[in-house]
Amino acid sequence: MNVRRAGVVLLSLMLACSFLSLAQEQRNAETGVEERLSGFAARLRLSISLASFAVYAPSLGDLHLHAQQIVNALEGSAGPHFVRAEANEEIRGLRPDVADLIDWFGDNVEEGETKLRIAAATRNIATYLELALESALQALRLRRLDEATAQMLKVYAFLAAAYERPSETPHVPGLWTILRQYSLAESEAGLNADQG
Amino acid sequence: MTVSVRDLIHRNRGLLLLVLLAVLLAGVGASVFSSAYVRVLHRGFEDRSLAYAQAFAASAIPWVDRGETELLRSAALLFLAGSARYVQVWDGSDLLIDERVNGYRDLTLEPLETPLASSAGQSADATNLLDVRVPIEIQGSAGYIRVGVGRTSVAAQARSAMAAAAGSALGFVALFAGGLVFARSRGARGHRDSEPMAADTILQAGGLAVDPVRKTVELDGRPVSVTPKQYKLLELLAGEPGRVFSEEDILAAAWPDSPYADAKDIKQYVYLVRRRLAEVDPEAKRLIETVPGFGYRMVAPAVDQDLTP
Repeated sequence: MNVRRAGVVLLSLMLACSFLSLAQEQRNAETGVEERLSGFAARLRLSISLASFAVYAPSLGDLHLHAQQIVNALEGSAGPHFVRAEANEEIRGLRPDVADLIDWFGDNVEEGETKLRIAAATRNIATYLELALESALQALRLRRLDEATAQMLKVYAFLAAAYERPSETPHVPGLWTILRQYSLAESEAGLNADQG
Repeated sequence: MTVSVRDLIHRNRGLLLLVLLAVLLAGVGASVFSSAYVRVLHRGFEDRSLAYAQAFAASAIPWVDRGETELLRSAALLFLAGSARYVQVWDGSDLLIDERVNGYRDLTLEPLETPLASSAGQSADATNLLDVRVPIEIQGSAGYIRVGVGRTSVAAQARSAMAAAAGSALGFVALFAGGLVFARSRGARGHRDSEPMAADTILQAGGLAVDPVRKTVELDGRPVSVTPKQYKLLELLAGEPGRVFSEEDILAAAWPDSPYADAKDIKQYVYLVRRRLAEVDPEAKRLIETVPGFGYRMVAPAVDQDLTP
């Protein structure tokens, strides 16, 4: 009987440990994704700033420079249009990061409304980033400042849409939706208040 | 066959005056246009540079607010890869960041009174540099962002614009001069060719008949052998018997493409034509008359007048 009770206790302990372990793994994974999301948000904000620099660039050379910086930020050093400013420059691209995030959310978020909302947001981010990349590459091909500026306005709009700044007007889910899900929106709120 | 420069200038003085006038007009036009364009170019550059610095300020404020100094520094370094030469962010009397490109690290940038409005002006410390100041407010305290924007790109654009204006002016003058020369040669040829062709008749002067279609000359029905240039001379003179043609008229008609032909050539060809005519009829050499001081003319045929009442 004692042996049997001891067995039950041991089994209970093992189950509890495994649940605790799973929960810890989940927490660790979520901590990891929160860091990645924060980093992603910071790099996306930097790209939006670069787009605003390009829109007001005083010369075509400056506009092309910032357009290339955005292409680099979007594609990362493995991208086909990446141009290294320094010999060993290695950076992660926003687009590959979104692809990774889509996979991660697919594997780690429980089925339900939240998963659907996050999936829609990540798909939108990926699409906006692709459109921003196309427009930035188009701007790099143009030789007139006014035409290239119009393209960079598109880049700015697509990146801002990917960031999804909440406003009173209806908006399509983007990064903000995901940040809110992971309680990261508060730390972005100061920024948003300034930009809004 | 030699002709002095003085003769050439004298002969083409009208044309030269017009070309000179065109050069003057094109020069003034190009100068006025290019200086106005360069002014507009610099003004546009200053406006865009101001907006450029304001865009940086708009990005910098939230980074400073959130204490993301490294992100602000990264943005400043990316900003400095272009025309910007230095970026300073001041929070009150605290210098938060001071990033500069090589060559501007030793530039003295004295702290400023916090500007009330954005401004852009020529840097007092460095030539060819626009100093842009944008006031900012960070958590209630006043500060400013100072950006130095190099004028290299706009200076290059200005040089291109001036070169294009000078090129256009030269092109205009060349076209104008070419057009004048063409019109003049066409006019002379027209005078020489069009009238006989339009009349479509054989030119008659006494017993002389010049056929502009068949390019033949006959005297009293007998052919006169002449060279093409001699023919041209005869055709011109027979075209308007009695009219005195100046040496300039004859040169333009018979030597339109030769700037070196002169009065001696005319004299020689008149002599040769008279000799050709004299070979058919010795008296015919009098058909071409020299009018001293004016030129040459074909003697007008006598008009039979019936004076009887």
